[in-house]
Amino acid sequence: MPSIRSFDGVRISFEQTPGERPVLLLHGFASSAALTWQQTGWLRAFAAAGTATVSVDLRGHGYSDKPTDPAGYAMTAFLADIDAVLAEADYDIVDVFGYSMGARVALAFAQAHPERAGRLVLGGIAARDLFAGWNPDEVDAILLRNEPVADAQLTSIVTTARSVPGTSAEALSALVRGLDASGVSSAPQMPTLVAVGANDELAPNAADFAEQLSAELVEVPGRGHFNVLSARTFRESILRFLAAQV
Amino acid sequence: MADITFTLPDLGEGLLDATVLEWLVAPGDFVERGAAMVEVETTKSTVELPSPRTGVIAALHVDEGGVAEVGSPLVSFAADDDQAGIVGTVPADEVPVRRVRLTIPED
Repeated sequence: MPSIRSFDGVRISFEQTPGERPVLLLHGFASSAALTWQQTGWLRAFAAAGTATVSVDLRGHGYSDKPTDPAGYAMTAFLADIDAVLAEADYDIVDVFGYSMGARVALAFAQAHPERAGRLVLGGIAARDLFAGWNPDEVDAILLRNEPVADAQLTSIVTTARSVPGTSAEALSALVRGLDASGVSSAPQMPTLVAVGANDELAPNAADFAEQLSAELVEVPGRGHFNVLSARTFRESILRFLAAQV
Repeated sequence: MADITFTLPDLGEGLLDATVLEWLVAPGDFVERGAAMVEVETTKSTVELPSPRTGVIAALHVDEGGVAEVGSPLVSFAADDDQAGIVGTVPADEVPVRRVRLTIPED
């Protein structure tokens, strides 16, 4: 798996597959390129569609380095990593598809570089802040000391995150403290799709969010935050959106 | 005609079973090896399993929404009689093995 060294020395791992009209793939919190895009069948689907992919292990995840200082997880650092990966891949313009935390990064990338993002797919997010309602001290209790907290949903999510093979509890703790991914300032300038499971408890009111972004909306019935990624209707809707002419 | 049956693979992470979310094939379908076959969910993620062989689906052994245990029958393919009685395991879609970087980093 190739990698580059980013501006602050953090090594960022990524994977490329061949094809046309490259799409940049950004996974979610505590996941990885392999878990989000490989295991779920997305890379197979993109290969069948003839679409090139660049899937990044975001800093703190997968095979990439995992800083333990919250200052290492500013949104600007994630964007600099992507710049460096796209330079290595030699892509000026890409479609961008992010899921959950990766969708926040995708949106920030599209707003920082509107000329570089062709079409934008935001999966598993809505208007509320990333990590909304997450008390960092409680997150640390679960991550670093394996102590449950009163918030059952937080305990469940962070316990699962902690148990994903290869994750670093210290890195995830630093990320939760360091990443500012609040709110949405303005609608992206490129065609945008919001795609969520209809039962996604972490992305409520997706229709309002899509309207705020002047985006198209796909809601997959019967699916939630953690099982929509491999759903056939989710995949077909997004492939159709990406295949449309710019 | 007899069947060739494949079982649910070990999906790693110490998990003993998985829930079948959606079958992407049906009995009677002709399926190519490596094509998307079934979507399963573990406690930690969802996984799309590819078809382990090229052939005609004879039977699906777990309903959508049902739980399959690792090593229990998942799918059967129709087979010629001389291949009858084979039992295999559906391969997990493996995470790519990390490749060694062959060029020396600049720094």
